[in-house]
Amino acid sequence: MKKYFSCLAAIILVGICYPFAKVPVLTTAEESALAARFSFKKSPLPEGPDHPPYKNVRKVHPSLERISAWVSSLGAAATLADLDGDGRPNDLVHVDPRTDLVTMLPVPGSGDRYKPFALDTSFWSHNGYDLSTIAPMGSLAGDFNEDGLLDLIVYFWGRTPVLYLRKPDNSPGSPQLSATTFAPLELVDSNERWYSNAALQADLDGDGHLDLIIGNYFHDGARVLDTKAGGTEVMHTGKSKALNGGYKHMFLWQSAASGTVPTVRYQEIKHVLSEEVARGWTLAMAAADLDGDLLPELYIANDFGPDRLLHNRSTPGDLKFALLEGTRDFLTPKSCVLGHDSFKGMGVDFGDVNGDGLLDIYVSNIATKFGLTESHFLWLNTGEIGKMKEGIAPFIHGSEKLGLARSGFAWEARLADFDNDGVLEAMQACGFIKGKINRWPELQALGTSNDQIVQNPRFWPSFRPGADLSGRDCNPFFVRGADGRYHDITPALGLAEPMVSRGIAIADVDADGRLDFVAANQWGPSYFFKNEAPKTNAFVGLRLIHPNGPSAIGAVARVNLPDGRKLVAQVDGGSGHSGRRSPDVHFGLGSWDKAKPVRVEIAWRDRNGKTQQTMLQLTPGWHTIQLRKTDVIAQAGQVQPAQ
Amino acid sequence: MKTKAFNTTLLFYPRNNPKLRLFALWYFTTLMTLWNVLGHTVLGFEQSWATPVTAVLTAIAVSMLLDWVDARAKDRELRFTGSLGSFLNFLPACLIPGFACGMLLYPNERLWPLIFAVVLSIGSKVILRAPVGNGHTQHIFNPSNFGVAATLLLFPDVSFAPPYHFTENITGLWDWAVPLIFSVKW
Repeated sequence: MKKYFSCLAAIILVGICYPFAKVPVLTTAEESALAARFSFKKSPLPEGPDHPPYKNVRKVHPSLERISAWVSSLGAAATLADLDGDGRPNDLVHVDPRTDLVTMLPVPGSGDRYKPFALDTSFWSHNGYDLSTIAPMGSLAGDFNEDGLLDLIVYFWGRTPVLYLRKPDNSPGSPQLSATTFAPLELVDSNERWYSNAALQADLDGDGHLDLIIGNYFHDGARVLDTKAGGTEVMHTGKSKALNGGYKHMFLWQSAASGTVPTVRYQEIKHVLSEEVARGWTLAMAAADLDGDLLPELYIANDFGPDRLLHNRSTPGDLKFALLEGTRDFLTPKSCVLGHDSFKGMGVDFGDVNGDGLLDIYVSNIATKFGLTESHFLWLNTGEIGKMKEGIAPFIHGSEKLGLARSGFAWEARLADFDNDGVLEAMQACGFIKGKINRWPELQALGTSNDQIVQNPRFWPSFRPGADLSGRDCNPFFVRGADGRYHDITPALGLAEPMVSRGIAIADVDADGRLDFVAANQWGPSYFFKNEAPKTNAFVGLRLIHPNGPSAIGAVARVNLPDGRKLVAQVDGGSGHSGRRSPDVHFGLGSWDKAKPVRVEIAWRDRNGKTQQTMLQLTPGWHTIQLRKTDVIAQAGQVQPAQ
Repeated sequence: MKTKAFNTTLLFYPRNNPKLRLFALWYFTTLMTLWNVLGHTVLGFEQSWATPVTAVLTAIAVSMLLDWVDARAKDRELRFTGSLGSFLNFLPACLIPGFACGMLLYPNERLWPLIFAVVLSIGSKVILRAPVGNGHTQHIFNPSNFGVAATLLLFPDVSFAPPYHFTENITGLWDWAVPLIFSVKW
């Protein structure tokens, strides 16, 4: 018997360690209690009977043929905005890779205000581009020519972006939106081939006008979708530090004109970023002011290489960004230091997850169990903004402690308050390639190959149609539990249905105070999720606009709750992968009395580039607020919630 | 008078030569230590710096504890006391699984899955044994691999470190030079 003592001791030791090594999970009762606070009604986006035949893979460059399914994995996108000017962000711009059309439509259930229509594609071949080598990748809604009417930018694989400027409608009554309402215009006439997968509008230089950044994935000039081209396309130079991707193009707003021939002119400013920073393989970008000067900092999420956080040190007309990097301590893995990661950077969003009044950053990577379990990021803002002047990113790694480290093959990352309790939920768009045969072993084989040969697609394992890579992922919906950790409650919510998603666009489309969302899916139907959560909690929603109508992108609003929590949010100018939220600010107020005004502080940069701030007492509900000079009382007009 | 500890592994070395066993163990230990030190300072290992330290310290502590339990039960001498030599020669069997678990697993910043893997690696040597004759028994599994494999299967949240996680900082010609250095028969 005695000879088994050490065996017994070992078994006991292993048994003691086991529970500590497990990740905390909720009991079924706890999970249903959390799920009871949420409810979403899912409806498919309408598919016109006259749509072109659906594709399920793209035609690609001959050297990419063996990985055509991999190359075809991008393109689904959704933008929510108030395009028809009815006061609600209930218009959807949907990019569907199955047709490669950019369709504008009223969100299902929001009334047939106009017939869904596709944007004019004939302009895409302007400047001699071959339409068969072009695919739209996403859109951005904004008032680019500052005439008070919402315009669009569509960005592509295979060409430079196209602006669609809304023409003023002089006909009486409610004008119907249609393809002819928008005048197409080149953003640049360079005739280059860009492969864009992120776009942002933000007042980069603080002159009061909205500038643009377009983030490209494949290197500019590639021929990814050209079946007749020769040679070999260049892939990533390695799996952890690929710095040979597409350029980050920055445009400063110059001038604009409205009228029947609306125009806007931007000037591209090159060499603002070093080549190392400007050439990551970008899949998502986000902008938000982190140091209180109302100049937006930038987060660039890159595939196969480090993400970049850039400190905005610009002055009007002169763009200047400094690279910020985190500092490593004894307990932090290498990639969990901001700016030092090799993870896959596929989605990003700003939001304050811990109620300290500081914006944190949520980033999607690949964190697929039994596939490649790296880690998503939740960069927690430490508030040490002084360090930013020294090039240090004041952020620490928080996703593991908060339960947000793993989910699946994740693209869009979103933080939003769906039950108005004042605590943000976290959600992601997941799934890569849906097929019949699991090709994770082959993808892992790619992970064993030498970094020096990865750039040649002929050395890649075959990922043709039929290959499956995380094609059965569900989009996780994380809610913060009583234990302080986030838990994915998708199964309890009844939303655990596999779909291959890319973009998530969030807006309160029916102005009932409950945020709804659209999931744009790759090679499949996309869906609108109407929020039908119990309406117990109060909220305050702000549409912050400049005096002549455009959204005050970059304006920051703050609310202090009686329990000491500070809430902060900004008017977003297109943060994320391929989903675009409406330019509204939304705060859940929890058990706040719905009749009692709440104090809201607002800071913004006016159209002359001057920083302004004001304090308003607002009753819970939606408000459209025209931001004027501080000496004039800001006007608040309440929009009635839908019944 | 306590009996001396018997090392079954010796039965599998030519002429039961203890020197050959020590040479093999120290050879491997030196390479593992070098690879880990270079990995965390130059090559760009993905795991936190706490990972190898925790893993190795856990391995040493658990090995000592289990040896102490076994020695008490069998009224034999401890393997790691008596002389500096016997202490030092106790270490390779701790360092190898410690470094191996710390390199091969990626549990993000969490250390407990790693501690579990190391405890199981070391523990597997006394839990899973087979008779090899003359009343002696010998552990069956490669300790590190057993600990790593079992941890991956038991905890889907824990992942293996993909190969490119070992050389994230090196680029260019070094991408060829490092594997070349390792493929030379030393």
